[in-house]
Amino acid sequence: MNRDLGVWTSEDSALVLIDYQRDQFESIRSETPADLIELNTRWLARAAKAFDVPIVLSTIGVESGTNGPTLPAILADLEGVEPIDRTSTNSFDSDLFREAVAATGRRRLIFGALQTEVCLAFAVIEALKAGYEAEFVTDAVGSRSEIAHRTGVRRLSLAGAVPNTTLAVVMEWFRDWTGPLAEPARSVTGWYLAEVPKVTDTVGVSDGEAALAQAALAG
Amino acid sequence: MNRDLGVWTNEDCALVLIDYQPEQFESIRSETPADLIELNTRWLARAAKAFDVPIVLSTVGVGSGRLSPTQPAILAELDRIEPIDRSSMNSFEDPVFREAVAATGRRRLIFGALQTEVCLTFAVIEALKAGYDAQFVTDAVGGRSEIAHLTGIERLSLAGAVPNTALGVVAEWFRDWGGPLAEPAREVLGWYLAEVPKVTDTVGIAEAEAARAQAALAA
Repeated sequence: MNRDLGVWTSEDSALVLIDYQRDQFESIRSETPADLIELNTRWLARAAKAFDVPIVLSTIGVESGTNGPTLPAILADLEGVEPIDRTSTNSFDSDLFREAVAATGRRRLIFGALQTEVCLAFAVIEALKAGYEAEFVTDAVGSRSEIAHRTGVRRLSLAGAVPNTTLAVVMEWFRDWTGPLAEPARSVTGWYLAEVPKVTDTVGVSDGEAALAQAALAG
Repeated sequence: MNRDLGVWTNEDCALVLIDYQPEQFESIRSETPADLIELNTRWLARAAKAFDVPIVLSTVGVGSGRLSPTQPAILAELDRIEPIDRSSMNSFEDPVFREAVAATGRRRLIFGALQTEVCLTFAVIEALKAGYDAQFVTDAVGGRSEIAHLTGIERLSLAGAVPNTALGVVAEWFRDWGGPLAEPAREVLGWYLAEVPKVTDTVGIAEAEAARAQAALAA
């Protein structure tokens, strides 16, 4: 049961990013626009690197020539992480993917993937069945329609996966502004708060935060 | 619990389509418009046939002369499947329907029906009670109002049924672009992606997908 899972930490989780590719971004028509999903995913990647959270990256149909590779802006924030290409929409059908997840040594997986009700849903459902605990990041995922996205979110919530957001994942990882991760947390959060207004005015940023972000950029 | 159900396959499911009749279509006022529900239902039927998933088709009130038979465009995709006409809103109260479901030999049922909170809900609730696993397809169903439809979805979700979408079901059935069902999957997906823009611009399609769908039609 979800109630026993508690607050997760950077030391017990891994980040799993699946199918952040151009074709998948192009067809997004759900609540979070494609460019904000891209930014949120980059933030997850930067935070995972800053906090030493292991990352598994996967793509679909790149080797077969059907789809393009991971979006360049996301890949740029994942230096040293090799994408695992698959043919199956169910990531856990891929031996290489399964082994990469197991090799992280973590039993708590935080998922971002496109699209919500297909490659995200299948991966999370299989992870739960395999005995992992799973979180998924609602504002770093999307689908071809609002109802498709919502249906995926609902399926996963009912299955026992934990819904979370990008900001909350980052906070859940570092937790304490006086803790050992406070300095990298300030840096990745400052970067995000400076980037968000370039993409959308639908995400709230306080005046003080905006000033801090600008000062950090200038500094 | 939903978390043990895993990802479903074409080999363990049957598709159950209930009351896709003109009068039911006319009164739809929920999130997915009637013509898109019709298209999504045709897609489910085509995919089920292409992937050898057994289909049970049922109608209400046709024998009594009160209602019209299954929508012709849907029936056209279901050649050789005999609709089972009922008088009860609860499909499982009809022995012929119950026997047809049992005769599929499948314990996992994927439901589409009109309306969401009536004939879909009653069938799914009874299926769960009878020990079947049940999925329902949120974008192939609808109700007389948004709240009616959402209430049905809520009731079914809480009862342990799995929400899915037409795309999610099709992808869950064939799974792997390198697998044995990839060829029929490409065909039914191409057909759908060519049909969708005729009905709505609210479903996202990537440029490359649209180009592939057009090329397949031209061939």
